[in-house]
Amino acid sequence: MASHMSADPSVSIRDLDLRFGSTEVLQGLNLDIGEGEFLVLLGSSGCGKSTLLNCIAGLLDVSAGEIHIRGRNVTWDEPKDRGIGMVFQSYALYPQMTVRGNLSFGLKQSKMASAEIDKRVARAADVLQIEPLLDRKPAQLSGGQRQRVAIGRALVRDVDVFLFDEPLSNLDAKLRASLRVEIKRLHQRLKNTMIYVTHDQVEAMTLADRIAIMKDGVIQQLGSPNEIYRSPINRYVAAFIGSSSMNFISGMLTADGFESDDIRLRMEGYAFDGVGQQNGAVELGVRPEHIVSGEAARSLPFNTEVVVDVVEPMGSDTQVWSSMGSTELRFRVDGQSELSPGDRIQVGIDPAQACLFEVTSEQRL
Amino acid sequence: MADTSTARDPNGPKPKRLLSRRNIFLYGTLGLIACYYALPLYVMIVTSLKGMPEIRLGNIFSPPVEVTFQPWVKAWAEACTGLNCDGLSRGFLNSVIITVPSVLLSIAIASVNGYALANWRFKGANVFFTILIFGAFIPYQVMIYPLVIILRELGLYSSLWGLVLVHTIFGMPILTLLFRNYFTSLPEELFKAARVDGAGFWGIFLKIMLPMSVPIFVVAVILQITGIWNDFLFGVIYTKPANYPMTVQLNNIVNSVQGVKEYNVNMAATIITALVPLTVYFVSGRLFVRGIAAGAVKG
Repeated sequence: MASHMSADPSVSIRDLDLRFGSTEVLQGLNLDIGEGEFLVLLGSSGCGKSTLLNCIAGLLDVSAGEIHIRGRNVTWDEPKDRGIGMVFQSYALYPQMTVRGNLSFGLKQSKMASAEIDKRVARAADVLQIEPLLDRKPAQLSGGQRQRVAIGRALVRDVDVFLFDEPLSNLDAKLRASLRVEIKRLHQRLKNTMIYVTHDQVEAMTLADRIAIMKDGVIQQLGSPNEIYRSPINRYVAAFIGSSSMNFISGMLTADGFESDDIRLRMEGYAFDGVGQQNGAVELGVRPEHIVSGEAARSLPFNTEVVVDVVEPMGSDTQVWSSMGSTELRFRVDGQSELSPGDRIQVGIDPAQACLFEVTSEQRL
Repeated sequence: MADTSTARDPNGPKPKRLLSRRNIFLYGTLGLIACYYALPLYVMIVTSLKGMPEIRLGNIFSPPVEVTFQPWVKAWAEACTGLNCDGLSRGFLNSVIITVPSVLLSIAIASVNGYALANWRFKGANVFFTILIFGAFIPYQVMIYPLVIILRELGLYSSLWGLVLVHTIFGMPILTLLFRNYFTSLPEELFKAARVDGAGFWGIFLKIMLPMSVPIFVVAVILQITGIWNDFLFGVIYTKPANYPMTVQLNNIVNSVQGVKEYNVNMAATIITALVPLTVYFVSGRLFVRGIAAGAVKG
C-alpha cells in the first residue's frame, strides 16, 4: 500500500488518550492514515473503535494527545471545522426534512449561496442515484435508500475525510453486500480518505486498504487485509479474522517442530516472522480452509484420518466438524462432496500455512 | 380433503366465546369502576339543573323534573363573593391571564433545560439535575413564606406577574424531567449528525429537536394548563382579591356562610370551573397518552 503512504498523512492521531471518569477507553493511541487511504477500524463491541471515530470527528473531547487532519491540528476544533463528513449506523436523517433538506442542512448552516447548494445537492444525488427521492421524507425511504442519503449528506460537504460508523449494520445481508460494493466504488471514484468502523470482518477485508484491529482501546495489528489474514500478529487477531474461525491446537514447540498428543509436525517452511522461534508451550493455529482433505493430504508433512462429526453445507463449500484426539477440528471440503457423519476422511496440514502462538503472551512466533 | 362430517379439527382462528367467564369478570369490573367514578359527576350535573325546592326533597339521584339553567347563569354572572356580585366571570378572565403566560414561559424554559441536560453534558450537569429533581419532592408549603418575601422584594407581590413567576418556578422540576427524558430518548446520532453539519446549541434545538418533539410539548401543555388552572393555594396567597383566579372565586361562592346554601349554583359553578381542564383532556386525550409514553421516565 505504498501509494497510500505519501509523506503527509491525511489524518494523524498522536498519543491519544480518552478516559470516561476512571475508565480508560483509549490509551496512547497512534495512527497515521494516508491520503486517499481506506482504513477500517475493526473490533468487537466495546473495543473503542467507535470512540476513536468520534474523537476524530470532534464529537468527543480527548483526554490527552492530538489529532491532525491534513497537517492541521484540529484537536480543539468543532466537528464542522475539521473537514470531515460522517455517516452513522442509524442513518441519523432529520425526520422532518425532505431528502433535499437533509442534504442541504449543513450547507445552509454555513450560509452557502443557494445556487452552490443546489449544484452540490444535484451532484451528490447524481453520484448516489437518489434524484427521484429528493422530495421524499426519510420515513418514505427503505433502509438502503436512507443510508445512501446519509452518505450523500457527507458527500455534499465536499470534505477530505469521510467517517463511517458501522454504516451497514442496520441493513439486511443482501443489501449490506450491495451497498458495500457501492461504498468501495465510491472510494475508487472520489479517492477521499475514508475511515470506516465495523465489527464485520467481511466488510473489513473487502473494503480496506489497511485494517486496524482493536481490542481494549489498543490497536493490535495494522496492516493490509492480506497481511492480517496470512500472518496475524497474535492469537486474538487470528481468531477474529476468518469467516469460520481458526483451529487452535495446544502443544509444545521444540527444535524438532510442533508436538502435541495428537500431532507431530516439523515446521518446515514456517516463516517465524513474529517474535521469532521460542521453544515451549505454544498453540498451533490452522484455518479451516487451509486444511487439505482427501488424497491430496497424503503428500503433506502431517496427515491423519479423522471421523466426520457434523456436516454444514454452504453451497460453494462445506464445513466439516470432526476431532483429532481431544482437539476439535473444522475444515472445508468441496461443496459437491457428499460426506455424512461417521465417514472417515484423510486430512493434512501444511506448516507453511499455519500459525504458531506463544501460550502466555499469545504473540505470533 | 378434510372430512367435515366429524367434529371440527383445529383449523384457522381459535373460536372465542363472547360470554366467557373471563369476559364477564373483566367487563363487569370495568363497568362497576366506571360507575363508581361517573356517579358524582352525574349527581353534580343533575343537581345543577334543578331548582332549590326540588333539591330540598332530598332525592339526589333522581333526574330533574323541571330543568332550569338559572343556577348556571347565576354561577357565571350573578353569584356574590364579598362585595362583587358578578359570579365566576371575573375569575375566569383572571385565570386565563394567569394560565397562558405561565404555561408558555414554564414550557419554554423547561424545554431548553431538558435539551441542555440531555444533549450537552456540561460540567455540573448531574449536580444541577439532582438539585432540580430534589425540588420536585419538596412540599410547596415549605416555600410559601420565603416566596412571599422574595416577591415583595421584587415588587411583584399580589400582581398577576408575581403569580406567573411562581407557577413557572414550581413547574420547572417536573417539566425539566419530562423534557430531559424525552430528548434522551431521541437518537443521539441525530444530534451528532447535526453537530457535524455545523448546527450550534440553538440551531439544533430549534431546527432538529423541536420539530420532533410535538408529542412531549402537548403533554407539557396539558400538565401545565390543568395544574395551573386548578391551583388554589398560590392564587389565594400571591394575589389580591381583584386578581383572584377562578378557583379562589369558586371557593368563595361555595363556602360563603351567609344565607341559604344554593347547592344547584355551587354545582354549576364547580362544573364551569372544571370545564377548561376537562375540555383539554377530551380534545387531546389520545395525544396525551402517546406523549406520556414517549416521555416515560427512563435512565
